[in-house]
Amino acid sequence: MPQYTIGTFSFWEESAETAIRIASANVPTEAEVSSDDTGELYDQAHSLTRFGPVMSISTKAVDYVLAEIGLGGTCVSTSDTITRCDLITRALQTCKDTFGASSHMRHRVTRGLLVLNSLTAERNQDATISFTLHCFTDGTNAPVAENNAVALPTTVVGSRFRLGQCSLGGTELPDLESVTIDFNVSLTDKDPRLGSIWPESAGVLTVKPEITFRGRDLSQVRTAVFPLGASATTHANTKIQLLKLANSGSFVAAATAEHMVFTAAGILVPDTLVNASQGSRATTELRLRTVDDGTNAPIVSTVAAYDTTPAS
Amino acid sequence: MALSTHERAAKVLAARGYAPNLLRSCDAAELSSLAALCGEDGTLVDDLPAKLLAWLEAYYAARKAVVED
Repeated sequence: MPQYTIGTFSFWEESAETAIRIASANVPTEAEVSSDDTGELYDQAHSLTRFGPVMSISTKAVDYVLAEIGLGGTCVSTSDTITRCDLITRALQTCKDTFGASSHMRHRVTRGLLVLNSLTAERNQDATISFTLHCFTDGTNAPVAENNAVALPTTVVGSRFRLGQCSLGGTELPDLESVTIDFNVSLTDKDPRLGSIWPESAGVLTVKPEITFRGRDLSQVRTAVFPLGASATTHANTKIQLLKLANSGSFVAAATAEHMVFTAAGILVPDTLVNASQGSRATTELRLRTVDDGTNAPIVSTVAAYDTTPAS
Repeated sequence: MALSTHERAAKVLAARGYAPNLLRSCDAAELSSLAALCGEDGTLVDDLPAKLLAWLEAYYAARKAVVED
């Protein structure tokens, strides 16, 4: 019996494949089964009425994901930029099973909707981003096609980032513990196609990103800095930076335009004034609810040089 | 330093939250018309959301026409 472990996720543009390293994958089917509800003690009939798999993926390759998926989601189909996606689960060689070069498991989606879930950057950990692929039927075929005899992608790319200096409303935050972006993308219902168990489409209803800054410096949450109320931030004075890690080195040079920079506008409100317990450092949390300022999206992400003085 | 056509087009997409992979399937005319929404100094045009939406409608209409052919 073959066994598998985490593999890769590929974005295809026609015949061009971008395969990224991933940290986790979870593919629930969101199946619904109808029963007869006869009033008997036990059900006597069941029918499958819905089967709509979704792929939830997390990865450290923040830049690659944000190059493929926009804030408002990205469709996957033959008429879109991304024509299909593959989740490949790598076959394990075990003491009782050997495998060839094409023993790996592939789940392929040719119609779907990619949306961002969240980005988490902890102070002493690599940043991770998570996204979901909602899988749809093309009208004929199942939302996901499986194949248990494929080769791994020839080239697999990856990248890693660490939390860098950030500024919020023009104030630098040198004592951050973490920054979390929840993209908060809501979708229309994914009802099955009439006469089918497979969902055929969905659309993005709203995108309401929120950014949570968890910091060590409780003294910043006071009237002179971040007041106990609301304050406004703009793209010009709010910057979150993720430093790219260099292979066989530490960080990629600051001046090299390979780091991730996010700017955001919105309303900043303290979310937790004090979170303290014995034996650990106290923290405070600020939450930025972002808005469209009329020109820029609520959060703008770019690949750029690292700014060592983001508040100036 | 003046931004290149590609840099200006990327800046326009990023400003409205669109992924830059769109640029890979743009032809020269599409790239140029997208870049026109951003000045060489990086200043975005007024009414960017509506203008970018109009560009996207044309972009997707062109893709759909190719697929249907």
